[in-house]
Amino acid sequence: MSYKKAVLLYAIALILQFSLLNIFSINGVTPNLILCLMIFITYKYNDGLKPALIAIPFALLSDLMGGQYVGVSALVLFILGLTVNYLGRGLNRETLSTLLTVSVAGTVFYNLLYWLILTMLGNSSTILDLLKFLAIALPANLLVILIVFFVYTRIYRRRIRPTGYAIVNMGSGANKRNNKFNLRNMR
Amino acid sequence: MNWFRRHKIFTATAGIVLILCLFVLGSFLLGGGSTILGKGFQTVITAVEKPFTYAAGGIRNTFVGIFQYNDVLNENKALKKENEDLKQQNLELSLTREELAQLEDLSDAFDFTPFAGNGEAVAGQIISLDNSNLFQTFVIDAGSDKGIKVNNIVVDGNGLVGRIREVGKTWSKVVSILDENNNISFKVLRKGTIQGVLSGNGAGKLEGYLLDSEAKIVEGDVLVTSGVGLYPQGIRIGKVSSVTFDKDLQLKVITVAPTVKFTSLQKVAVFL
Repeated sequence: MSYKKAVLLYAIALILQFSLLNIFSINGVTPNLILCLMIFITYKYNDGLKPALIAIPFALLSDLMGGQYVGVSALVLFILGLTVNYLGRGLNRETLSTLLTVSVAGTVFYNLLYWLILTMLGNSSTILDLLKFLAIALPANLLVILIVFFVYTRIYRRRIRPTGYAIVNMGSGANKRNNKFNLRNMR
Repeated sequence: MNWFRRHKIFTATAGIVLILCLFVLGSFLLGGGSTILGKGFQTVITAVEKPFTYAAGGIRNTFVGIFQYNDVLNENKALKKENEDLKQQNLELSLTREELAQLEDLSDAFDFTPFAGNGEAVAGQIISLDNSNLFQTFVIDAGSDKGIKVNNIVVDGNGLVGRIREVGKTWSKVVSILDENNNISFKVLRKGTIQGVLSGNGAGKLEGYLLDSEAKIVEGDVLVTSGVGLYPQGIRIGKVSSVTFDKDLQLKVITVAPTVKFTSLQKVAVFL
């Protein structure tokens, strides 16, 4: 995914997170759009640390807007990005089941680490409170990732040409130009 | 140095983690506050976020109107009844107005100020909530341009919301009473001599203890601010939901459900 697209998606996620998403809050808990997007892009596109790096400024902004301490979600998100990127190497990135498994593990990991850092900084919420929070946050995040997955799949299918070759997800720069050139030659 | 050059990715990653750790540490040492740069960012974000929040608020109200029509009808009936009762109470209270005027004269004579600040209030719309979803802090769209200062008191129609922790030109960060570091001195509405201290328990409720462990407090008792410390007297805090005796501390410990519905909070008032 290109930098422009990723930045645009994160910006939209950030704006929606603090406005429209509050409508759909259940007991005050809303899905974490930046987290969902970061997991999805890291897992689906083989772009290394790029999605996690782009997520950092947006996570910092979200901390500024409503976080107790600035930098906590950025730090946790970056560590999660590293982990998903490293562990995702050995997994099949095409199937929905593995994406959902990674999403569940990612959400739990993110919230656990977030809670641990806040606890170290003096927050007194217990692990039980975290579990209560996860009981709502986990299905909410999975729902968002499912929606993103189906939207992505529809767009991806539309872009598949009659030749059977897809012209998305081919890397960037010179590789992309070469692939387009090859596709034209094949036709 | 050669080792770092050979392991560029590892060095860069470790560097980023270290910088982010420093961010967290710096924010912690500032007590959760922002630097000048952070405040500048916050002002820009507030300007961008404001129209979206207003639009979302409108959509939310429409949804609530559609799906909770019966609830709204019932609430309307209850409010009409409450209105009648209040009219009756008002009639009774007007009889003691003369007495009140005498007491006000007396307080002037003693140079006593019954309420902190200048008594004016400013309305604020919530534009972003704590992203840990526990509503310990949130941002409102009113700042120093409307005269808000640090430690001004924030309330809504149901009671005490919190206090102002940080102020920008067009925004203010509110730390709610649910924050663990926000201590509130309270008294029981039923019997003003029963007093104690409360703070957030990190799980959407308040926890505290009574100064007199022998004092009789029961579930359902309404708590109001006592006037000791930052918060002025008489603002509703919440209802006691459980009372236990802590043998180690030798104190009566209470859990309180706040009267303010933090999960659906949209507008607040700030006392200047």
